[in-house]
Amino acid sequence: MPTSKPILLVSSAVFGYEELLDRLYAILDKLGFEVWMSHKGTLPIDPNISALESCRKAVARCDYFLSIILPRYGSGREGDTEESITHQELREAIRLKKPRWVLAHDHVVFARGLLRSLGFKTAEDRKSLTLKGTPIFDDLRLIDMYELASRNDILLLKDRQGNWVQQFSTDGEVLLFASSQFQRFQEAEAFVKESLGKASRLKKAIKPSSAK
Amino acid sequence: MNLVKQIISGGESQSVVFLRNAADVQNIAQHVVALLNSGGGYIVIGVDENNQIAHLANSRDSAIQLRTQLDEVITPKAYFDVGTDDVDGQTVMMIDVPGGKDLPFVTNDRVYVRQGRHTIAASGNLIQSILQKRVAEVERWERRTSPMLDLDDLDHEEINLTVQSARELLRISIAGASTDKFVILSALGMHVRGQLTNAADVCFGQDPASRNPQIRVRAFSFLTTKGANYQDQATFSGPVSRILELAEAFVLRHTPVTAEFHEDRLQRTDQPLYARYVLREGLVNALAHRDYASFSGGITVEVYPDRVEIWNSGKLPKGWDARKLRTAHPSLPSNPDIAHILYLRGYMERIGRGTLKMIEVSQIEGLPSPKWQADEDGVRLTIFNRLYSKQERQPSLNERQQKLLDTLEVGQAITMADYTLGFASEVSKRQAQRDLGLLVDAGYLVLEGGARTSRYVRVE
Repeated sequence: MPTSKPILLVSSAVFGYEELLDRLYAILDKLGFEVWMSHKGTLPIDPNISALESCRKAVARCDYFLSIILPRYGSGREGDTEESITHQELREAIRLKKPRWVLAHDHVVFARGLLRSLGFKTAEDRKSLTLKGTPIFDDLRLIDMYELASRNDILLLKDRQGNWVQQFSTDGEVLLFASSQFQRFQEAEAFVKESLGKASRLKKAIKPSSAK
Repeated sequence: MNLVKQIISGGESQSVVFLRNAADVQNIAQHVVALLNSGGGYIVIGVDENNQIAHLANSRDSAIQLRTQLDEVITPKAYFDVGTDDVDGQTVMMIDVPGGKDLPFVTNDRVYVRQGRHTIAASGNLIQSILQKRVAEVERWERRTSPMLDLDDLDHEEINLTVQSARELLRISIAGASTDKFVILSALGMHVRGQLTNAADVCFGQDPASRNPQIRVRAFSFLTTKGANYQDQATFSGPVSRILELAEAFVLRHTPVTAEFHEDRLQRTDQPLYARYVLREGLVNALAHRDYASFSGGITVEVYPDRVEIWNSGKLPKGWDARKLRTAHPSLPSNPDIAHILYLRGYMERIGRGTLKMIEVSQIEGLPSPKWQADEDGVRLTIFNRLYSKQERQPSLNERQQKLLDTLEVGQAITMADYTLGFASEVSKRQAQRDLGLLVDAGYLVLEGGARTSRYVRVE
């Protein structure tokens, strides 16, 4: 049933992080979002198309996009050459210029820094490496995701927009980031919606302080 | 008065919930989550709105079933206990909920908290303030993942024994019928984010001291009560249950058995010097509450001719002092994952009741009550044995104090005004205060409450 709630899509790997995702869902739901999360089974699935296509469609339909880059690359890819679903969701969200928030686990940021200092600075450089994946870090393409989110494809720093990636190491840091960001966002959105119905109030709110 | 009776007589509060029956599991889960998020407490099932006990039939079977159902709907994995208790011939179901560490806990996609006598769904602001507090805390040592630890480093027999014991004691059925070690360890909260935690090492590691030397326990046996020279010393390491068994064996090895001869019997009666329950509970508490993060900390067990002293490097929860351990208090375990294993192995009888039971058992056995002391460095428990001098432990009581102790049962309380009226009407108010103060110092009473609500609770 359609709701008037803003749709927030949470994109991340799942295995090993179920408890984090359960708690994140509860918090975002409480903040008034319709949360689309595959772990909770709330992501709309079209049985006539592939899982990847369903996810792409969901990205197109959502209002906001939250990506969590965990040390697990995630599933859904065809063989080892294709990008995972979460990777492609992030790519799609950037292409569609969705309002987005991205978190990246410490291990991903650390691995990137270590490889850069060893001379493997780009995705192309890293292709020559073979990683025996472990639960600590299971795929070098996690670094590609991080660089994609921080818009390393745009050469000049001043031209990069929407490139903030919040680093985290504990579940608590993810939950605090999400609750802080989306609570404020919800408050701002509610204010704007209410004020749009009352043009005079909106004018008053945005009037420069020097104006009389 | 037993603990459950004390809880029921106190009525519903921030830390106590009464429910008439166990029919609505989701509702019970909300209360459990609220208590986990709000510092812990008790849920008493089988009490009506007038605080009257309504007997529950088949409550033991229901308790086992309820434990399993609650496990399935509460995230993250939580450590709490569902059991039954008898109160004046009536049976109630009790859920002992320690204050949770991995806040916020959720059920039914909601965060619940206690607000006074009510359980409510937390608002966005409240969730944020819980999270701010939690994130400021350092992730506890036992939950941190141990990158060097592999399944091959664990003692699989210890894991199997835990699963078997949990089933036999009907505490939980860990991970259904699965024998996959990762599935079992995940159900115990020791396999997180695809890695094993430090708690897995402490509880099941074949040689945890090679990675964490601070887990070793040192034991000494002294020849005199002053402890000048020791006759034996040992260091124990290995999985936590093995350390416990070795430490207990060390104490018993250095403890003689006393013999009593009765006029009417020719045979002597051998009496163990200590109540085994008290000794084991003291060691279990030290292993469950010690500070594992500190490399200079640990546990020391000292055996003297008249007592055992168990010191651990843990700290009491903020705002608590050693006297709190002698009264009904919610459990706030420092290492809930490790404590959970000790509970499942049957070393810990019920959550959060150990100190009161130690006092009760000591009384039944005619032994002095154990003594707790806490400071910045750690917590010291002294367990006295039958050889402990009676003169040393018996302060000289005046007639008024003795009369009070003859009247007041353990668990009952009295106010200063009632004491003055009933026992000390012929002395000054200052003398009456001194009487009660001395009984507090001697460990018979504990002062509870604020300035206007203060009362003295009999604890020994």
